[in-house]
Amino acid sequence: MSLSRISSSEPLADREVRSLAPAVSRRLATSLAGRGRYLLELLRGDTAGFVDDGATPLNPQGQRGIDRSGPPWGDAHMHPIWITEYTSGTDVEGEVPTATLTTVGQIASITARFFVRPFYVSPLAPYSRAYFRGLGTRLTAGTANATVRVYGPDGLAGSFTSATLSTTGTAQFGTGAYAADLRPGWNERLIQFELTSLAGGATGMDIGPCSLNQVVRRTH
Amino acid sequence: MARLRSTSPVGVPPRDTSPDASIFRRWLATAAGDVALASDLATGANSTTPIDHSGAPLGCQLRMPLAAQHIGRSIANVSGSDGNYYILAVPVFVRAGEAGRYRLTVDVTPFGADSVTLEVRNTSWALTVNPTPGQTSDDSTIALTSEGLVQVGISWTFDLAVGLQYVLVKRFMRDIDTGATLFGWALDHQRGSAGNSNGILVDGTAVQGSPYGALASYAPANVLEFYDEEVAVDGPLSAWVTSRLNRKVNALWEYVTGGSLPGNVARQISNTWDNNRATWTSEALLEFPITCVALGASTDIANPKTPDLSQLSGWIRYPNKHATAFSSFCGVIVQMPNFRISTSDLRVQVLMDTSSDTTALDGTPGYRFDVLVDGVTASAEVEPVRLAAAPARWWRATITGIPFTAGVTNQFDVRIRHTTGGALGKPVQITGVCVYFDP
Repeated sequence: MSLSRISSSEPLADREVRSLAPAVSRRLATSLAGRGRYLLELLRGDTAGFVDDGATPLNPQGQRGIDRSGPPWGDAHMHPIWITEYTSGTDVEGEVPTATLTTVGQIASITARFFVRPFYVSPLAPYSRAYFRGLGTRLTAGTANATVRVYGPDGLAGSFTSATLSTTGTAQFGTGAYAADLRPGWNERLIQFELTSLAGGATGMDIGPCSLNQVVRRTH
Repeated sequence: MARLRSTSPVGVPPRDTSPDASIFRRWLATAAGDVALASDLATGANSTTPIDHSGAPLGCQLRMPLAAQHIGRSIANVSGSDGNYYILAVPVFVRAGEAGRYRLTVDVTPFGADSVTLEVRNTSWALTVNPTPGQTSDDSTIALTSEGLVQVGISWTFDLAVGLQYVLVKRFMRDIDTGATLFGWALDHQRGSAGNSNGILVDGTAVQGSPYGALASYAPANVLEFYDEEVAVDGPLSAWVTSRLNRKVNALWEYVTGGSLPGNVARQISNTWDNNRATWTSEALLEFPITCVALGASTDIANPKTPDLSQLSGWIRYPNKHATAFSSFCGVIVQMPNFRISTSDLRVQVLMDTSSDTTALDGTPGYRFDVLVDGVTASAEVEPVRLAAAPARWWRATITGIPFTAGVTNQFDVRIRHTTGGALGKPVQITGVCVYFDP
């Protein structure tokens, strides 16, 4: 690797730059001057204008620079990666809920297939999870309760996370359901909705809209 | 005093930092200047054009996935005769710097040797990708869905330009194919590989403790600046400069990478979330796709007021009367990024098809569109515009300045109403919606 300007990713501790600290010029100068170039490469997405091989490794996309896919490649952006659509318009034809449950114990299953941006795969990386968000609307007056289960990469044979919903109208599922252990590239996850109880005359629940979303916290 | 800040990266040649090199202005002033430039590029401070991830030198492209939607709807043709239908017609927004190869996948029931083609049109409704047959997945990848139906994937690799455009998939539908189903679709960049784990933190040793200090936060109030006088020729090598510069670089490192300093377990500055961090008002506002939603097919409807008699009746969407009150036709619930909420840059694009070739949409009862957020706050309503001169039948509505709450779950209902009531004349079929930021 050829570099025309120095580069460094090594930070300095306070004790190394205080008064009367030994002036180890190579470490001091390389770190202070080299990290500026390193950061400029990460920010600009090129070799910072220098004609050489560049000092930073390629990001998970195989390109140069931070791509906001999670530390150390910048804060990961919040965004949805999979959706279902539904609304209850009164004067529009063609709306169908993601699922309709009318019997206690009834389960509806759908398979979510979606693409996850390339990211730095490490334990608890922000993009290793996709959080479920969804709505349920009870049918006719009363109270309806439902559970959503988001299974892991092993499907029904593996573990799942879940969230519940209890409503006398329209409400959101809780925030505890997420798709775990996501990998860069295509992923598939089984999502199940189960009607757990009906009371007060409710006859069922319409599910939808729903989504899987990446990054709710910087790390999990 | 002149603030040290490089106008473009200067860098320090290796010889200037070798063990016996003379210490001082040549590298220290450059270091302070380059770090100041990096800081300004990241934050947009000091009237610098900030990185917006539109490609070098303004930052690596984001290449966010554009769409993935579960549909699970019947596209059976009940018209009594065979024909070609757009089973997918959606607006798509591509960020600046991200023109290039994309991959569309549509999952349907098997369709034998019947034609399925992709076309892409621009905002003048001119073809930019001519009708192209799709590639069907191999037998080995045919899968049974959770409904017990056989599913095949059709995919295309094609070019998209920057900005708004329209992706359409046309399929020949036989009226005997009563089980025809559209399971879903997805649109993403055509990536050579899924990505790897290149990292800049891994050094092969277990990190213990956090020996490297930094500023408590990277905010305008406490970001350190350096001036000519501090790095004068023949001046002393001052810890006043080196320690402050080191702390600034350490903090900027965390700000840029989102991670802790190499060698530290814990981050030294508070979390920096997403774009437009509150204290840096000049940071770049990003063009950013949220999602695309397919809503229904475009059919040559003779009488869509009676869905059971129209083609693809399980997959069309249209207002069924001239209602002057708003009615929702598209609902999504998504997590929104931490983008600017005042003077919101959030937009929704609606694509629609009318059977009318010659007149405005359904004559006199003008259509209006808006977006209701969390059932409470609505955007301003807008009129649709025709995408090409008559007799073209495709229209779009661009809803801008949509209010939203940053960093949390938002529910969006896209709605339609008419300016005058009455019976339905020539209805409009709404085929797709795109949600995106376009500052």
